[in-house]
Amino acid sequence: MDINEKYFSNNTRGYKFLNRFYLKYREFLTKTAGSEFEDFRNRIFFNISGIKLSGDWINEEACILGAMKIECRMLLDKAIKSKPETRLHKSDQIIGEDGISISEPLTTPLPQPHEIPEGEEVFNMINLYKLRLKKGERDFLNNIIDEKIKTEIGGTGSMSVNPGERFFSFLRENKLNYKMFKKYHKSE
Amino acid sequence: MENFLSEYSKFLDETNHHLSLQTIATYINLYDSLSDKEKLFISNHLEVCKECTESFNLIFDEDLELDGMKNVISLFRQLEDKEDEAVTFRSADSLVEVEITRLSKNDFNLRFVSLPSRLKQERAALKVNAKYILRVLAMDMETMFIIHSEEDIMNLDSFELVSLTAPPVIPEISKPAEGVKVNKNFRYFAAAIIIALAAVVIYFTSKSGTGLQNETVSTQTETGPTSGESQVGKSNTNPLNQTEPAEQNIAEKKQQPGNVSDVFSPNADLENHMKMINSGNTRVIIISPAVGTDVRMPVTFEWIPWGKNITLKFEILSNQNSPVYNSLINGRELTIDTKLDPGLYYWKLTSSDSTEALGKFFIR
Repeated sequence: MDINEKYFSNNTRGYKFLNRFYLKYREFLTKTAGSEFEDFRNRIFFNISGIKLSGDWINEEACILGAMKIECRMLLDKAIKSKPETRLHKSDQIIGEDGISISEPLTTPLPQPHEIPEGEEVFNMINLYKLRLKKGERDFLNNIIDEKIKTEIGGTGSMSVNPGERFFSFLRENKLNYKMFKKYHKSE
Repeated sequence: MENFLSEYSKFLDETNHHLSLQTIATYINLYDSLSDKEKLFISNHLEVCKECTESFNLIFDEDLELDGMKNVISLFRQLEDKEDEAVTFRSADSLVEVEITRLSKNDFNLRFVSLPSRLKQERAALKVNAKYILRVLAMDMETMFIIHSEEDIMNLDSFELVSLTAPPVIPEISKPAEGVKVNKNFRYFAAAIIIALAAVVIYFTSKSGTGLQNETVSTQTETGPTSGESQVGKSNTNPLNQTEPAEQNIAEKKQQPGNVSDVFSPNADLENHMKMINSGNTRVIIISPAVGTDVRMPVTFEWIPWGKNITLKFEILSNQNSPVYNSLINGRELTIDTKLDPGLYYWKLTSSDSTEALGKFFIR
């Protein structure tokens, strides 16, 4: 069973979450994530399916749902920032497709619109990227972030091997500044 | 030393901006994969930024709500101060009702009060469909469990699955304005028919010479032996074991007018009994073999009792209501490798009070 069938098809937990989220924030999301729920769902699916879970996550559902929720917040973030003057109309009650009532949209406190700082972008992308890594690779990357691994990693433990190389490729592909890491990379 | 975390932190400090929704969502949903410094960076910021803390709480609650779990969280919060007091949780779709009792700080008993109607027809599928029940979260300090399947429940130290209780069967009859009255009358009528049928059966069996033995056995079976395993064919002083082998009984019954004439024919008495048991709130759930399925020896009988250390009497009955196997069992399963002739058999679990479960299977 693929991700689409397990988490994005009708009546699955993921589908229900997306549906409720979209209903709740439709006024924002129509501006940036599509005017129909299907557009919104497809967009999230496109982003999630590109993550390619490493396969050693014990709870795949928690990971996919977690990534889904993060993607939803990211789209909402962008929507709010692109239309800062937009304000949601309060509705008495929102009813999801499955009949579940949803409370009023979260209107405050929302972050003020601002330019996305590079640090924030790196943080968010790195953590979605970690979903692709095996546990050992994740630990390795976290050690780099925590600066527990210094230049002595050169030699046999060089960053020219996975996951370092893959990580740098990822940063390059996403045009991210990887200055924090480059000193650990022997080719830089 | 400059890295993306210090850069992010510096930005927030200098601009008075807040953590993005995505960052907070990452902290909530992918906490386990964050590095120590990433965790520290966000938790430090949350400590000093009231607005971000508020956002964190709102997003956390909202995620649970949109995921259909908020009522479960509130349930566990309700349970915080209550020990030995059952609190009922109804799933968001109202199909499932779970009664949860907090036994101690980290121990809960779960008891399923009702399940989706389709499960009533598929008791054997309960194991699979247990995931349907629970998006239950156990809040225990910083640990959060999401239960996806019965296996998950079994693997949780802080949970003990005590009982899966069968849902009540709603009579499928038309419901006019006085539907309740009709239902009650229907029940009385059905009960009267069952009693009348039972009386007829008893009358006919007592009229036939060997029928008396069956009746006696049946009565004694309810009180049951007190220990050990006994099987038909063995000779001892236990009246239960004086029962003749199944084949012999069946052969005799074939000659008797008014009794079941075929080894595969259902026994009306047991069938009615089974319906009555399975339509009520039974304390024991049959897992396998599913009611009415074909089995081959050896066969494992599996059930879920309502608690630990429950001793039950296990019996296999022929379609003549004659015991062909019995054993006292303290557990959830029993594997039998006894040769049984082709036919319809019933199996039941009896406590000291009553029959707790009754199922049937075929040997072809």
